[in-house]
Amino acid sequence: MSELKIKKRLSWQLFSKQDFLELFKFRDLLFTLIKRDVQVVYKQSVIGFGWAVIKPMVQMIIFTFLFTYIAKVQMDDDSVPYMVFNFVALVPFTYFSSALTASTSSLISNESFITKVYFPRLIIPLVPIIAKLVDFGIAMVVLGFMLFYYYQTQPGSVEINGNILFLPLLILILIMFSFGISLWFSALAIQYRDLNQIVTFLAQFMMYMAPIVWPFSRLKGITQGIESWSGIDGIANYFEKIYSFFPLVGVIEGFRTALIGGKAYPNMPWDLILNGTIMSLLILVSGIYFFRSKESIFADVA
Amino acid sequence: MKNETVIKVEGLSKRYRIGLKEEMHDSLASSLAAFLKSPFKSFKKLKNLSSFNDEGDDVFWALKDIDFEVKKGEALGIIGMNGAGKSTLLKVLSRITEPTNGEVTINGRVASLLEVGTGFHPDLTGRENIFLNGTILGMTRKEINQKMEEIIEFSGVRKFIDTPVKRYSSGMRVRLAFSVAAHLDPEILIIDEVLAVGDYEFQNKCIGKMQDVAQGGKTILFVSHNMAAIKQLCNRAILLKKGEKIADGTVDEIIEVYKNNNEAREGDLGHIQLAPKNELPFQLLELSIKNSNREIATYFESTEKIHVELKMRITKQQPNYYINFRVVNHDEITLFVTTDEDFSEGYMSGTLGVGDHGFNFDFPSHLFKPGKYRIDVYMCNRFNPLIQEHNNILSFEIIDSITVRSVKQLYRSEAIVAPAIIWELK
Repeated sequence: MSELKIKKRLSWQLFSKQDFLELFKFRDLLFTLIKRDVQVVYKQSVIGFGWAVIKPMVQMIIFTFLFTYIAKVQMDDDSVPYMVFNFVALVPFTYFSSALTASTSSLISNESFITKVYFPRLIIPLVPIIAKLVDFGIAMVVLGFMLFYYYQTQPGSVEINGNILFLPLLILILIMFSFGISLWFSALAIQYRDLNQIVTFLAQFMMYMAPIVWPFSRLKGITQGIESWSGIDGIANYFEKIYSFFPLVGVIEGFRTALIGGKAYPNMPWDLILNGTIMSLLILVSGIYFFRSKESIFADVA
Repeated sequence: MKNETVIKVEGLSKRYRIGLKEEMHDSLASSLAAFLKSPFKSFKKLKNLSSFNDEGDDVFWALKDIDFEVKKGEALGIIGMNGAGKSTLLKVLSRITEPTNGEVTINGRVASLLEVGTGFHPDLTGRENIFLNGTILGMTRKEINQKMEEIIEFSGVRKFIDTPVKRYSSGMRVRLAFSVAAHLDPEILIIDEVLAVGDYEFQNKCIGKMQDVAQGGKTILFVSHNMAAIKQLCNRAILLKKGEKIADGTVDEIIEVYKNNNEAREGDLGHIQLAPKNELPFQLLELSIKNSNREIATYFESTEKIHVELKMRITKQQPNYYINFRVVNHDEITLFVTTDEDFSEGYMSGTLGVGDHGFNFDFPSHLFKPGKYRIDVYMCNRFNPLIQEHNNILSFEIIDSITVRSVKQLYRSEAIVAPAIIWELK
């Protein structure tokens, strides 16, 4: 018979082997909750999973109209249609922002479990991170059709290349980053509800900060603009270095290389991906520790 | 291994921080200053929810130095008034909240039922909710699959099992939830008053199921206000008061201690004296409720008569005065109203002259179900608005630990009163 001790957890006891075993023991709960999340989102809706496609598509159409007709964005290579360029980045970003928003409020919306039953709390923010992968998958299929259409009709715009094999790695980085931030945000949001407000505009801010509507090559222009404006030598490089640690940059540029390829995106941007991975891991590990340290008060502050 | 200790609680304490009174502002300038400062204050307040740097007056000990042991196969009842720390104790034992000090050692698989139907999602069907609720309570999908038929059968809602739960009646929801809980197979079962719901027939079934569990060598921890239920299910009890364990013994002993202990608690005596107000022509001065020994009490057995003593003052004579006395239950339902006109011609107060007067009367025994009741007293003038209104002036609690029917009383949740009715066979 297993013996269980309940007492105040000390800060250095944050994660033990037992905790991992317990997480594994509750895997059925994780699956059930994921299933619930997936089932519930589109219950009593006519279009159902169609929404997973419509949301990023509509956004893509708006951006394409906005940035090709109204505010013309200078592209590196005119062979890639703006629509493709934009949608390839929007699909992973939409996953990130919807997972982050859902995960941040997850502890609050599941408050009734937290105050009534015990289970490893880490499961709760993890559920939307996995559940939103379903929407992501559907959007990826649509993206696939779109890429195939351009591949067939406009030779040279999209090229199938071997880098596509790195896609799972990029998705993994995306998931780690999303989960890491969500751990921080959800643990804070249950005590400070302000986070629910912050997260919506933070997601929007990140969308414009990441090279989604504008090509990555424009970064140089921006940083050099800052350098000449401030008059500090070498600040452009400094900014570019910091920027490369923003995990979405490596993921998005990686997605473009893997899916568009061709002469516009010939090589995987490994330096960006490496820095992004380091950052994601850092956020994830610190997130787990932060979450665990806050865990014991969830039931009291919820 | 009958005498094996399965739960050992040592020096368990739990501290909470309670909110302090908000400041009031009387000028626009100070309100504006407070508004600008409020983000900082709110931040500090929210932050304080989780930190305890000082022992201010906003610190509250929900549990203080609790020690006890539970042996395998024991059914332990936890008794105490509201706010005694029963729920906090169960929350610590079920690992929902962390203790501040002390430790608990548990040997065996625990299932805790602090609420019926935790995690039910209204948009999912009954079957999907069985999975959801079951896994939340710690079952695996495999176990649920094996017990699915049994659970559906026990709940009696088979016809609706593939309908979203939001279309269920509340009774059906409870039945489904309880059947899931009833099919958990833990070694230790922690239950918090979940039996207070559901209809007669179903509660009957639940009690039966729980007794099976208790007799099957499982350990049970049970919190309830219902002494009859505790008596039926448990073989030992502990009494909590203001976060401390004050007694531990057999159920009968503890119920006795509970009754005696509560009669003397401060702030909630069965007696009140009001300061006279000169401007009122007709007013209540004193009200007491007493037990059969004419001692002031707030806890009564359901077999006991409740004796009321009332004093009032008339400073201006009026033929239309009367006193309206009512008893209201927990659900805000008025059980009965009595006035000084009952069984007399006209209102007695109206015939009285200037001065202080007293009235005495008894409630019949065998009238109340176990539970909390409050008393409202209105001093009235027949053709004019109320002279004096006393809502919730006193309250009392009925416990039922003696009568033969007390056990069966459990099944009568839908009834409001419980008169003693004896069936005669013809």
